[in-house]
Amino acid sequence: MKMKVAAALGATLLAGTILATGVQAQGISVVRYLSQETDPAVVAVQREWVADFIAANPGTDVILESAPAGVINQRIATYVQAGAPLDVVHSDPGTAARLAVEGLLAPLDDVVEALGGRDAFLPNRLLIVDDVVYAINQAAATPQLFYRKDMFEEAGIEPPTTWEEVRAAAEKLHSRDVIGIALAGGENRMTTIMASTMLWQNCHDFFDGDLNLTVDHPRTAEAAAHYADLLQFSAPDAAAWAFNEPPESFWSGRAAMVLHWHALDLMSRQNPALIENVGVAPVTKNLMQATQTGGRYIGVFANSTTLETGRDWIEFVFSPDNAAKLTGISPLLYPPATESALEELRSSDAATVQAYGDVLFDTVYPSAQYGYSEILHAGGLDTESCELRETGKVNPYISVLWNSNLYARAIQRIAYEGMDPAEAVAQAHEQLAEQVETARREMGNN
Amino acid sequence: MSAATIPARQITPSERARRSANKKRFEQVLVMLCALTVLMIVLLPLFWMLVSSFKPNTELFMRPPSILPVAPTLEHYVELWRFTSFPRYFLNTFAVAGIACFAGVLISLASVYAVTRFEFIAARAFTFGVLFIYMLPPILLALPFFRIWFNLGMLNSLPALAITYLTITLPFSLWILRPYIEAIPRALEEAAMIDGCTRFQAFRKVIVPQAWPGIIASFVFTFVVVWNELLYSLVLISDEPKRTVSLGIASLILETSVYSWGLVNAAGVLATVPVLFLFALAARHMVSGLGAGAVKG
Amino acid sequence: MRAALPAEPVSARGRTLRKPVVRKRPMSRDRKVGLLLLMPLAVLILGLTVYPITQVIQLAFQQQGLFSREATFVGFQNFQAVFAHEGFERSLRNTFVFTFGSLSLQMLIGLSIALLLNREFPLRAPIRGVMLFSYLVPYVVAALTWKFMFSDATGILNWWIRALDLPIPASPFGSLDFAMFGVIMVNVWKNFPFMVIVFLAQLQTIDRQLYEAAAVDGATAWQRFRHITLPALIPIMLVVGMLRTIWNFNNFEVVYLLTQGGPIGRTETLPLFIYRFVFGEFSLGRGAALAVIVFFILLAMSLIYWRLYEKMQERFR
Repeated sequence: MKMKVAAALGATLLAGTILATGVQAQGISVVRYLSQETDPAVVAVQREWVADFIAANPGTDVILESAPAGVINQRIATYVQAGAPLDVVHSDPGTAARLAVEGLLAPLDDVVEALGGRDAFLPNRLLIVDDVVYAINQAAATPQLFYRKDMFEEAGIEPPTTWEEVRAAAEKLHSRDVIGIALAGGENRMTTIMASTMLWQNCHDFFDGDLNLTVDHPRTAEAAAHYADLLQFSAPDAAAWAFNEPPESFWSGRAAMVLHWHALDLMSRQNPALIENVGVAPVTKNLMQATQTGGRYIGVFANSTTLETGRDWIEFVFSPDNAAKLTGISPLLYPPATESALEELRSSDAATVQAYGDVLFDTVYPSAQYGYSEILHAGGLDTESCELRETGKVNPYISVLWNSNLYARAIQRIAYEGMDPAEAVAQAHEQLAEQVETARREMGNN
Repeated sequence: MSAATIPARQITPSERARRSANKKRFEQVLVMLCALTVLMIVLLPLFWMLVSSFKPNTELFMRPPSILPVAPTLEHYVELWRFTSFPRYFLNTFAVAGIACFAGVLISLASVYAVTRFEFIAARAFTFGVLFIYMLPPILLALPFFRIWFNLGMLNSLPALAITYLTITLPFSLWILRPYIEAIPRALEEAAMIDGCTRFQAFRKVIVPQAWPGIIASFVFTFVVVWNELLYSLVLISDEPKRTVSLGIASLILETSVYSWGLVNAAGVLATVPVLFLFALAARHMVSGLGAGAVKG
Repeated sequence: MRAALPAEPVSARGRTLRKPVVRKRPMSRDRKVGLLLLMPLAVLILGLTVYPITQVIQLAFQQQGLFSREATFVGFQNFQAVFAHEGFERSLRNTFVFTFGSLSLQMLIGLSIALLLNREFPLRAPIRGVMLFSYLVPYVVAALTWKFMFSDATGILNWWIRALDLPIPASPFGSLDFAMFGVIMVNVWKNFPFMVIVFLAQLQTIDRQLYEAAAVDGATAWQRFRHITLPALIPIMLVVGMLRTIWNFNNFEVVYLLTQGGPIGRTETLPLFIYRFVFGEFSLGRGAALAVIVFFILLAMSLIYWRLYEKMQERFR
């Protein structure tokens, strides 16, 4: 008899604990902010924002969620497939583009108006589909070529500006103790994105204006071969390198050059003494000058149960004072989103700006004019005239390219298995085409 | 030299004993040295992680690398404590482990008891069938679990995570406890019940003490599994304040992260200490628990 | 419906002897208690094992758009796509190499160390305890600590390999030829103590007198091992062998954290291949199909182990 009682008690306890966690506080508008931010410094800023937001908006709460990109995208997919509401999402450009084109995000025009209107924003900050804003870019960073001034001076080399010059510098400086250029060679987004900049510098793109895949092309093979060639001047284990190793190699003093968005920001945290020896080379040129405009786009789902609060949160995050906090700790990764914020930054007393403000305003921020956003300028790279232009067309298939890592795999094959570049690129095209077609079909059905 | 052999000196029994004792001693020391060498190889990475966690960032990329910190610092631990949520992650993991351990032991005891005492089904099939669950790749189950908890509205729930972990730990607990409980003669229980105990009291007084080593083994195994597990927590927990320790460390180094080794090493050291401590407490029981299971299983 | 009662003791005259046992409750009530005790386990097994498996099997025959709400039935298409994928054979091969490479090394090292620790020597107890530390650390910690030691910018092993110009890659995880080896070594380092515990416990149940008697009879150390130690260990070796085979086969964390399956798929085992389908291509159907295939492979291997185990039990009983 007692056994039954004990069992029943145990079951009730278990059930109670389970139910307790599912209880939501009454009357509080909760916004879930899903992002990929895992850097403790950034999370600290996010928590500050949450505290200030709740203080300014009683009756609300913001829950910070973060997970790696692959997991986040799967999570979003599961929620959407089940018809469950999602709130504010901060995602990579490819995912943001696809969500916007599929009509899953809510319009943010009133938020943009409250922040000063579309014209107040710098280029490549707004994700606009059919003349409606769906997401705002928080991290419109552009990769630069950072180099060690002292090493270059000692070897008597000028800062490189073309492919040949970069290769020559890397070759000259590469030795057992020094890495010529810290490039990632792993099968991941880092490799894909950095290799993408070289593709555009070769006056070619992954997709054309009609969003057809154009990977199988001599210029692609050239660009992939160039990246693969440079890998020999990277580390011996570059085939396993991802986002962490290249900047680490640079801030630890082991590498002479690195292609990165915010190597200086990281260096200011890890090895501030080396900053004075760092220079930024002009955006590299082959057939044309180009770099990437990266992004972390913040949008809110149309089916969110706390849509208005979500919009308020987005406005809050981009309001000048709050955005400045993030820019202050990492001005290269989180450049200002509006013209006014940029002006404000000049007089900022953040340690980073004090240490290398001149680099920021003279070289890095102006280089954004060469920044090509692979989602915002579908077909915007004119492969005849080798110019960048606005098309206002959004490319939702970039996420396929990024998630599959097939372009990175092609480069690996060229660099480490000696595969013929044209063949490697053709193989990647074939496999990508299948996935792009699947995506096209899926999106056509909506 | 003389051709005549020199008669061997007589060896007294005590001297023989002394010589063989010396030989034995020598062998023992040799074995100990071997064991210590192996131990050093095994512990090298952990030692290195410990030592590195006290080095400031600039010292980490000193060339040639220093073995011991030149200017030891606690800055990484301070940063971990004050600027990350690691203290919270510890609490979370203890909560999950606690639920999984207690629920696991209770359910295992109840189930094994029921199967061995009530003559339900072939016990052999039960033993093997229980291990059957291990054949499912966790990566396979991660998404269905996600959907199940999602449908129950229990995503980002630590108790849900604990219950999920039971699918990993229960088979082993059942397997470990069965030989102990089987070995207890029913006469003992019957005797207790004749003396006026209810079945539950008989259970508590007779079964539990005899199965104690198995219970400890099950408890420790469950704790270690929960503490170390990454895949399910990665998929089921995305709320930053609800992370477990493993997930917290993984979040620092996964995907697009750029991290500082000092912080990561400090986190690693802190993540290892509780398990080692728990194990030191329960070491003896764990070894004998597994052994008995092996013999009778 | 009731299972047969155990055979009752019989006297020399063929009459059944009943033990003077007083049953306080009728059987049916006992059965209710028993069923109640089994319920939590049954619920868990049904809810968290059987149900997910059926879900996965269902998914294996379906395809669903990334952001669409309907799933379409596609028959065996997912299975065909998986078999035809250029990575399938390679990941299958990698998984077997990883599984059995790790297993054999774990057994060998585990057994050797267990034999070592079975002997008497000073400081035995603490050494035994500390020997198990690598088993207890989380996989994340194990992976990052080895990555750290081999890291190009900060790794001490990396530094020494390069400084001494050794003919091996400075970091195995970035080398096409040594990545699998590196991953196996970390797996072995992490898990060999499990073997040590199990073997040690079994070794301690072997009667010392057997060894003494054999020594008196003039048996060499190898003969003593072969004829006394080994037979006692084989049954347990098969059981843990099966367990570890399954665990190694399904191990996702160790390889993912060290190499993510690279470089160029050299360490992509089946669990990572599943991950690629589910989280990289977002093709749940194909991931599920692959998982079903893995399940059947493991089932087959477990049956082989089980058969061997039964044979050994008969032989050594």
